[in-house]
Amino acid sequence: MWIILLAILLYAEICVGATLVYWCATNPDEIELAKRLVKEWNHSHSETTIKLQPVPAGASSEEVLLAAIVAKTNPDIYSNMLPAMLNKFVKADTLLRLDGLKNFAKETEARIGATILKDYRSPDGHYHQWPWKLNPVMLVYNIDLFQKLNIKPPRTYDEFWTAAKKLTADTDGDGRVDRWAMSPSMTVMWWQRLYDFLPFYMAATNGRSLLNQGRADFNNVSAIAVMDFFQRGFARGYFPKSGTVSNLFAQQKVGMTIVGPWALKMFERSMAQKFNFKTIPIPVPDGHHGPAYTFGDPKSFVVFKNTQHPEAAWEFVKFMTSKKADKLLLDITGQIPVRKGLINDSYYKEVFVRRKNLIPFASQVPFTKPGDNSEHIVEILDFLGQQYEASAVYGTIPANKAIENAANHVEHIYKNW
Amino acid sequence: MSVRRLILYVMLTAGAVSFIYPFLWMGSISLRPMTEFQDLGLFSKNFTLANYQAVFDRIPIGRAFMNSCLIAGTVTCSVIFFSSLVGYSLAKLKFKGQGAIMAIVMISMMIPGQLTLIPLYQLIVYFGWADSYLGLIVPSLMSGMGILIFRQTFMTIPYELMEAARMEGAGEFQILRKIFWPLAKPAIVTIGILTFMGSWNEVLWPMIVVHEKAMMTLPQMVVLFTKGGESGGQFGVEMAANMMLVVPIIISYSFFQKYFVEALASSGIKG
Amino acid sequence: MQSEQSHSKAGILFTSPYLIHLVVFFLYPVGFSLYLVFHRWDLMTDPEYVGLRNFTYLMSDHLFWQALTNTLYFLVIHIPLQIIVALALAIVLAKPLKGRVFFRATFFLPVVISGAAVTILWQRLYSTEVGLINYVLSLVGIDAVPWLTDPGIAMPAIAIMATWKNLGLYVVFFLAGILAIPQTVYEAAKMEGASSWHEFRYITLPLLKPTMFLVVVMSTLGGFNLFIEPYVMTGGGPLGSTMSVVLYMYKQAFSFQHMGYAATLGFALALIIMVCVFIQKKYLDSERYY
Repeated sequence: MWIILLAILLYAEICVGATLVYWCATNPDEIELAKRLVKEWNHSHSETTIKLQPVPAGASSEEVLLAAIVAKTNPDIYSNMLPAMLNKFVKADTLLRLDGLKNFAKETEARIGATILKDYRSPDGHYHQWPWKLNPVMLVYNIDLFQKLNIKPPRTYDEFWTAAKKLTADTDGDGRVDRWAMSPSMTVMWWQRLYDFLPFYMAATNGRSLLNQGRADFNNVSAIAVMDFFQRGFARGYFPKSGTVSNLFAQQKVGMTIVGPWALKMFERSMAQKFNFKTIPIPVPDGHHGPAYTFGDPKSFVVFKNTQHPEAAWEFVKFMTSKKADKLLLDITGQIPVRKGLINDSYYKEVFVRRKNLIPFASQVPFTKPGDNSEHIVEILDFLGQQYEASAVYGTIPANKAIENAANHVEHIYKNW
Repeated sequence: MSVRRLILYVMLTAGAVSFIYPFLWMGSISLRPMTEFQDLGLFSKNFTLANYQAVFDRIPIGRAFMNSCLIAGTVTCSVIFFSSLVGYSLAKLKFKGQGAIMAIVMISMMIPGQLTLIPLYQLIVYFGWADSYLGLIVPSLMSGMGILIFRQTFMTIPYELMEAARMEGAGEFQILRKIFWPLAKPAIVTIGILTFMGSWNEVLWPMIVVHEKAMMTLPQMVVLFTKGGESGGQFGVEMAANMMLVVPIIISYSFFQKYFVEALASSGIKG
Repeated sequence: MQSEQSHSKAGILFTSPYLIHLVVFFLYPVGFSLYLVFHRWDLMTDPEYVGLRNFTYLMSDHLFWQALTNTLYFLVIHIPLQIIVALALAIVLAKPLKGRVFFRATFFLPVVISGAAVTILWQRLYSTEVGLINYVLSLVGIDAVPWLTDPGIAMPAIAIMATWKNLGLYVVFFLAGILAIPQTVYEAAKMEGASSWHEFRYITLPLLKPTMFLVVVMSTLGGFNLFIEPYVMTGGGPLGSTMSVVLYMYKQAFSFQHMGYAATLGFALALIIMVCVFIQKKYLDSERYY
């Protein structure tokens, strides 16, 4: 009896071939994209089946992924890897080295190009991630409101404050301010600083990162100026200090917001009244020279070392980042693939014609950085967040003190852990 | 009725309202459209089940409910069974090492759980029990408190009953099953309620060992749903999810109120 | 002789599942936590011996000391509030009032509901702009209170919520304590012309000392266990004012993967709890009840 059973099992095993588990991000747009591509793959690749699952819920996907690796319940492929976190996984020897795989050099040359690829290199000189998308964090403003109030789009802090002053107002005359300039987050979640402090810091410093060779590289005037910028905004009441700040931009309760391209669709969906908006680079300190860089909130594909089918996984990663897949990424999620010459490529032109508001983001890409890669990045950003809260939001310590504390803590972390 | 008494009643009623109104209001908000989230009254013309629909669409909350029932149920049965065995041994048997076992029960209750939290997680990972029922259930299969309550109760049961049963050739387990369990029903109910509630309400441990949605417990899922992005910050939807956490308990409490109060009151005696 | 042997056999049989469980899920973890205290471990790579570094880090870790201070702040508000309100309600409910069972059941309701559910609900009640609590306060002319966003108020706000949640239980404790006091004691006092305040001060209060001890110890344990409340409501903020030791331990372990340090925190916390309970026992649980 059981011989038959065994035979059936064996047969099934042969027929099914390899099955790979792939985790994608949890937002609805990305799930839709992944579903479509995986379906297509499974249709045309009978030898390797992909099982798609969004990252299981949790406080942050990084925490969930770590827990899964420890418990050995990790997927084969993961597409939401923050390069900042990569080093932690590389150090623990959990990721597959990609540069040893078939056609790695050829593939990179075709898609990414050697210069950009360097930003994604692991400290050991090898490559453990496949850059997927890079979404510049930029300033989006409400054109209609700006025109009505006769405000110039701000390029510098000075211009920003001029705009802020005009925007912040009590529009219904009840004696309380109900429209503000912008509503930066007040929360201390570590990743939040990737969307406020870091882009402004990169804009102020031509794309410098926070760390350099395991040392804090931000104890400088630019970082202090950025901290001071946020402190002023909160202190002068240009930024609302209230717990509920979701979607104020779509409700026209703030005139500006700092976001990546993924947010545009949400704005369009949740606008109570339709209005026009425009995207410009992050404002820079007065007297700044050169372009305004920004942080790119990059996400990469990685393959885990304990996969049974590394070659098949690599094939799938290439499929997910093919020319066609990149077009779907751009179209469905409004996110920008890491692909050289994207904006000038005639293949993608029709998407940009249809979705004009993606053009400023795509044009910003050459001045966009993927940020640091350190195994301590969560702890560093967490501490920076606490200093940001104390200095910018509550104004209990001066900006220079906050930056100094954060820089000292970086040394402390590297020394102790 | 004297004025003093009247004032007393007014104050007690105000107090009672402050304990009930929040729950009623939560129920009301969970049944109303998003636009009414600022309304602090209880009634609306626009009652709808849309928020509950949204919860069921977005998270497998039915599954989480079953998980919680399964986990709390298993843990409760196990604690009652094994604690009564140990309680019986400590109360009615005489054997070597008895004193040592009693001491160890006391010590295990005195050491705060925070001490073993991290190593316990490591152990679960080592066993490969992360994201599984085993990881959620096995560490809490035994309870020192259960043992103490059973020991206390069994001590009051006279030896004569045991002797009579022994004469008839009953083994120790039969004595426990046929004589002690029926006589210790109040203790069983108490331990049952305390254990079930403790397991049902636990959030920290599931958050540590479970990340897979299909394995989550009800409170864990509701917390992550309201705290994480999935509720979309929609207030009515959050309250609907929370209602599903609260309502089963309120229902059982309203039926077995007396037992709940007695059980929790006796939880204080243990220390 | 026969019975002695069968006792041994049954005793071993009955207690062995418990003992095995105890060894694996209690003794081993306690031992392993001692091991971890001297190691650096990120869960993914092998533990590395670091000597006393976790301890020295703990000593200079102001975030830990802040978390501990926060907990003490919580207790300083929570315990007296809990005792005063619960005692007052118990005294009222000890009288032969109509509807006493209903009131007791009502005050007890939040006790049975999970802390997570209560916290999620109260987060909304505490909302500065649209919360029920600020609305009620506005009716009596009090300005909106930024309950969870003001560093000075957030912890008291959590303490008030915890009091609301546990009140019913402590009312029941006090009620049992009061009803256990023999009526003859009061009658004797009345004979000597004692006022009701004197009765309360010199009879009820001293005789409730054991209950008081129980309430203090249980509130203390609850305070040191604070996790889900700050996790849901504030994430430990604003300005770290509601960071509890358990939440900090969770963060060190699962956000930063400092398992050795988290174990050290757990160790320190366990020690502090035991010392606290010991001190309370010494001062409150004296044998001089009568």
